[in-house]
Amino acid sequence: MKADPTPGFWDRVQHCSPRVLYLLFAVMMVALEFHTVRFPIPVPSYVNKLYQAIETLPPGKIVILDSSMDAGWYPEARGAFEVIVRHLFKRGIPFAVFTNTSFFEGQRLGPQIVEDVAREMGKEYGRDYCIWGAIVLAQGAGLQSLAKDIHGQVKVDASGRPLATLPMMQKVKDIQDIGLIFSVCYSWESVQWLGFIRSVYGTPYAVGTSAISSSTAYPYLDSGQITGMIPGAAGAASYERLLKSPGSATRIAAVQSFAVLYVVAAIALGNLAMALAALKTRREAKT
Amino acid sequence: MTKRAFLKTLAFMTGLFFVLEFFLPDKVGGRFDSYEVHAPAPVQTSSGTHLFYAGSYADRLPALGGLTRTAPSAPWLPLSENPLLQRSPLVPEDLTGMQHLAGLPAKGWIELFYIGTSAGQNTTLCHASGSTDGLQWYRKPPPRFLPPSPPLQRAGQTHLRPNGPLPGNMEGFAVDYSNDQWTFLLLLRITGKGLSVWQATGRELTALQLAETPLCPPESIPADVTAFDGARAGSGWTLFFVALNQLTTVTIDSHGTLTQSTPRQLVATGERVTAFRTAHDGFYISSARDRHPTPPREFSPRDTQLLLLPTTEHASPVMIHHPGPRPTPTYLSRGILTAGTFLQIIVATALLIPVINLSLFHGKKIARLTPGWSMSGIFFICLIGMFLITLAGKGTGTTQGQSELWTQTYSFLFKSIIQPMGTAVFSMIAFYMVSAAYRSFRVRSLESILLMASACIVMIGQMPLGELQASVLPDSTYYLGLPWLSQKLLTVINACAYRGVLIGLTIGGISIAIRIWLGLDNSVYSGLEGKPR
Repeated sequence: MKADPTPGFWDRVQHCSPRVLYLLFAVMMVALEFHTVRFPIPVPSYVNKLYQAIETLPPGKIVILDSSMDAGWYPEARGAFEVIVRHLFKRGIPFAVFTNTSFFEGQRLGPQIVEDVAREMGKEYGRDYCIWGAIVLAQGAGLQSLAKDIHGQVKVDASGRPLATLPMMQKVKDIQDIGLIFSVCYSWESVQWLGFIRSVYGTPYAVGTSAISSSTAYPYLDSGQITGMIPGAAGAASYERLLKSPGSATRIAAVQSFAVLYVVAAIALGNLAMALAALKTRREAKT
Repeated sequence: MTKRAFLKTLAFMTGLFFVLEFFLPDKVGGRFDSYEVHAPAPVQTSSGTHLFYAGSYADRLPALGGLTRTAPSAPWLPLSENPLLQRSPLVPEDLTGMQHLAGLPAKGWIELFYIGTSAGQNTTLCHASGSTDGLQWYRKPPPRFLPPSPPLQRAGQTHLRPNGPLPGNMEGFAVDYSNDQWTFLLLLRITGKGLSVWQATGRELTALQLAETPLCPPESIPADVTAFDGARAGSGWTLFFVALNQLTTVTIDSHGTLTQSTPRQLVATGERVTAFRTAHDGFYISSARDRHPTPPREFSPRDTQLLLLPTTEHASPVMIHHPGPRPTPTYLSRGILTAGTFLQIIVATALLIPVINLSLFHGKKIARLTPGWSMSGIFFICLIGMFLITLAGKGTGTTQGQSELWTQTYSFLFKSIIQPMGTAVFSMIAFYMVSAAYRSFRVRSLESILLMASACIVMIGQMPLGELQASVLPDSTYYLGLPWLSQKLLTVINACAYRGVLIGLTIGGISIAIRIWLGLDNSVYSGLEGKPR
């Protein structure tokens, strides 16, 4: 009876324990936490368009920030949300934070970011920003009524204060008083801003989403239905570059670069090991 | 009526309401200027005085209207019951607004200028020419302003628009045509500098040369200007600035010396002037006063009217025109809030269903002491505990929870447990991806090679690492840079493919939605009749 062939080096490489991969990956991520690497940050056109849209917002209008994020992708979402909040505070444009009830964690995560930045920049609640809290959208029907009468749909803010008593909301009546909607959401297409607001009223709409989900937004960017996009931490890093204030997103983008490089190296090494093992097997079979 | 039939009927009626409310207008009938009137523009012709104005049927649905009278003592009569010039989807510049009209006779035509507002809220100085009887109107290209040489660099951000590179946003203007030369006075708001008046002259409207310095600097212009006009005064100018209901006149002589007059009240307190034009017989103004209580949303929240104020001091304004006959509301939009609230209650109730289901499931486990019932107990502790702590400790905005202890407990539970747990669960995907990339992503065919290569290019190209790779390449080989390749893959190949998928998905979604709405799909109502005995 023929003995089983001893696995060669490349056979052992391509079938190595995943724990080795996990360990190397974890060590790399931890090491990068302590040593930041600087990379040149590109500014894609869709990030620049969003920046320009905020820079040229007409006076007298407010912005809606849709904080439909969850804790799973919070490290990416935080960067996208924070850069827009900083930019709006810097330009003195009031904004309202809104969350779809389907994303309950966003009800806390978004306002948390806003309050931290507001404290740092000395902004006042009710005058520079307000938090509407969670609103039921019911697949867009809620947006249909929100567009017609904001005060009727959102009677009070998240702390129970009537919206009409907030200085920034006194002249805001319907969707025509909204200058831009920026939605930070993983599955951004599930929130029907495009269908019920952008298409009907023409209100500019921008998206902050994860790098994975960003590929679904390109058809809309191409047609102009989405004004701009911040895709993940890399997009937020680009925006930080435009704001000239590098922050956590720039650092995360650099770390993500190494993670992506690790995955690509794993793919390459696995395929190389497979190819070399097969080559060796063919040579042994010939001899 | 069975439960299923009742729910189908309810779902159909609710859907019908939202569909009708979406497609049908808020109101029917009425005149084109039944909502508001503003921006009068008097034009003296050989047959008398024409007064053009902007009327709107609804907020941001403007149209041009006209009145005429043959003598100062004659009544104002409408030129036409229909609008003289309407919005057009082919002309985006004035799709949502027409303000600050100004007209004057020139070269056998009536030349009308106005500030149009596009759907994106950009303002453009628009131009239309009309016959001398005021009935035939033709849109013309917007006037184009040329920057002085050298180009304005220190005056603020330039805006590249149909009117050319103006140094700021246009908020008012005045126009004069004499000696075959056009002269525009533009009231521009420059970022960081405020309002100033700039002069532009030229023989053709396509080449109006902007002056290098403002005619009237910001210091001489009152705050809160709502209307502006200018008129020649010899070789100088008289500028009229209206702030709410106060008129301030600034005279500029031929040497550029500015003289400001004492403010004069034009209309009663509580009213504000929204547009102003000066003519030989007085000031033509439009005023607005907020209505109390606020009327239903089909009607304007302001009372507007066109007035003629004789130039005599202390003269009373004479009402020329007010909004036309009101339309009839369809009452659909009045129910949208109630319908929205109804949906909110339904969905909020639906959010309780998983809680109830889980509670029943785990409650049965505890009641029957089935193996693992202790985990069900932990479930109830966490559910009820988090619920009570959130109620007591949640505070947002400027408010706090009921006490510092509850607020800190809530913050601890959310920030230090729920949030990191959610992030940690998602982070495990990275390790699975690494393992899958190493052990499963094998290229064995041409298609898999293309797939893997595209994935690697897109992954690296979107990261700063890709920019590092592109930065070392010479400019002539930019197409070898991973960011460029990544963008081409995403915006061309991926976008086309995904667009096709999206169209298919949407068509399928529409058909399913219509089936559910019309009650043809029974799957959503399954289980209503209960199990057969």
